[in-house]
Amino acid sequence: MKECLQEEVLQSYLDGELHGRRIEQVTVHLASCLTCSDLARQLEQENSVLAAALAPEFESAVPSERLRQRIDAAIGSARIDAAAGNAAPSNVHNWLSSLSDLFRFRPQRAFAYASLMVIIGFGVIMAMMRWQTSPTLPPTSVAVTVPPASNPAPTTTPLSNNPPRATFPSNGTLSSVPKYRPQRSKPVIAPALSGQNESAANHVKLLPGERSYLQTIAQLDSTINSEKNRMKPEVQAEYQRNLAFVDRTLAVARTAAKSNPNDPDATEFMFSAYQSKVDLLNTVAEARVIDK
Amino acid sequence: MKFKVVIISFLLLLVPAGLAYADGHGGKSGTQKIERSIATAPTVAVSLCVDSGDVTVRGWDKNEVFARSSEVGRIELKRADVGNQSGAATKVLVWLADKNEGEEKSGCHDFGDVELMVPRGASLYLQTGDGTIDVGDVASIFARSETGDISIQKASRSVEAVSFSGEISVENSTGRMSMKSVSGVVNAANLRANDQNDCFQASTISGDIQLDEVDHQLVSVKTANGKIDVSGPLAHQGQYTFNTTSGDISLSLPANASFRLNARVARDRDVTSDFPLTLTIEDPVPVINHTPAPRPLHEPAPEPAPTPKEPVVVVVGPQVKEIKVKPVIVKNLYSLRRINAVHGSGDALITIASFSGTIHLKDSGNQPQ
Repeated sequence: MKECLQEEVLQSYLDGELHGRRIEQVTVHLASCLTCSDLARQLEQENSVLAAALAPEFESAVPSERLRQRIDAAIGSARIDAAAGNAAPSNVHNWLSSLSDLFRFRPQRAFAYASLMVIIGFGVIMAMMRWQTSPTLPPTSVAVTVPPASNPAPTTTPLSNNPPRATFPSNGTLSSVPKYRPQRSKPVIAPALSGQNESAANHVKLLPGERSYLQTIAQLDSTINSEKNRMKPEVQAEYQRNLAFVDRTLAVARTAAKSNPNDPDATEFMFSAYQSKVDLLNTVAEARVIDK
Repeated sequence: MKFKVVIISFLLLLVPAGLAYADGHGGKSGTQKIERSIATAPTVAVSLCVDSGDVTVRGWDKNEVFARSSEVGRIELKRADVGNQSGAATKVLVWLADKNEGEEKSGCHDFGDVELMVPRGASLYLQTGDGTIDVGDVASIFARSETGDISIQKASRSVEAVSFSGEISVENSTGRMSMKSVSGVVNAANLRANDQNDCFQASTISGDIQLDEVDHQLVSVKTANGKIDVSGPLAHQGQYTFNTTSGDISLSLPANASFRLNARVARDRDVTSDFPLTLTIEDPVPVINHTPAPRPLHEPAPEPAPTPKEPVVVVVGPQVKEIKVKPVIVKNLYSLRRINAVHGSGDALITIASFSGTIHLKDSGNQPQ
């Protein structure tokens, strides 16, 4: 290398940006070339002067102090997580960092926190006053769901959509009372209470055997209500009147049965009242079949 | 002159009025009645269903079903015994066609009054909406009406009548009886059983039930709010069950009636008997006896009412201020009592259950039991 080094190469050499064989070539040349060695010495002096002049600038943080703290906190938490072997999602870190930010008070935020504390304190005081004045409620009673086999079951008449005029007994005559019962095409007794009735029944303490009646009544009631538009006005008025009769009677009988749990007669009256309601609903439901 | 003008004007007014009157009556008298008939077996089953219209059925000695109506467009007597079309019909459907539409419908939507003549041994299936059903002199009847009345006479084998708000009346019939109404009155009179298996059943919700001379051995009557009135002799070894929730029960029995009474009634309701009852119960019962009936042999004294506490009187100066301390009376509402009693030899058994009604056993006189 007989020619002198270019200034860019020398600058790169001084900045430590050259690698391997190139560093050796430049070092050998500087040792044998006075011109290049003088130039290199000048560049070093200039670099030292610039470094001294810009030292305050280099030592000051380029980001703001707040940002630097946040970065340091994030790096620190990342290191902690890495050390614990538990890599949490980044959104958790963000949430934690935002949460920690909430506790950095400024005047506006401090005022908001104070207002919130006052409101919460007022609510707690009101709740305590109300709790002290309210009576203690007994625990909710549990329904009896399984009626014993000895209890009377509601008797219903099967319904049908078929036109009744086409039905005859098998032998063409009636041996006793003519059993003019259209074929059953839809069930009368539901397997269980549904919806609101079920929940209502669960909140009322039922006597043994009541549930089967309630199931039958619910099913018949839904059958009648589904075709209420077909009912003649006079029949509907009479139906409502008698239904009110029966419901009133049933309420009284049920009260008596509950207040006299050891009186079989009272229980029998209650079931008789239930059966009256079933009979009423069944009669109306049968009439609806005819209207079809 | 003026007088003649007035007379002529009057005559001119009379002419159109007379024509209109004649036209109206002529139209009515000239309405064509539709009649159909079909040869049937003596025990034919006849079915008829109409939405609105009165149905009248009578039995006759002919083995023939005859139908007549002036309200419908067409009547058809259809055989329903598909397997045997050659002989006399054993099942007959009475089909009606609407006058306006002229076509038969599949349901009970026809309107019109119908008269039927059927063999006396026939079985009837009759249904109507708001029309009446009147049947006489047939074997078996099933009749259903929504708002119309049902009247049955001289049924010889069985009766089943169902009405929503119409009155049910069955008279002079024999066999098994079943009557059910919601708010209509049920009347049964002069009924007999053909054999021991024939029973009598009647039930309503709010309608009253009246039985007169019902001779069945098994009688069951039930109503929720209606009254029950029974009169006539008791059947030999008959079993009578009367059940009401809030209605009153009245039994008018002959003086020599022999029965056992098993009653369950509310404690605060009256039980009145004209008969000398021999009480056989543990539960004390205040039975009210009407004169001139003799007193029961063992009439227990009524329970003494709880005596309230004396009020405390505090005198302050010249003024008197009463401070009343209310006595605490625990009253068991709707408590029931059971009455077991016997009159005569106790031949028939009368079981009465009344939740809040009264019971009255009346002595109707010296009729033979």
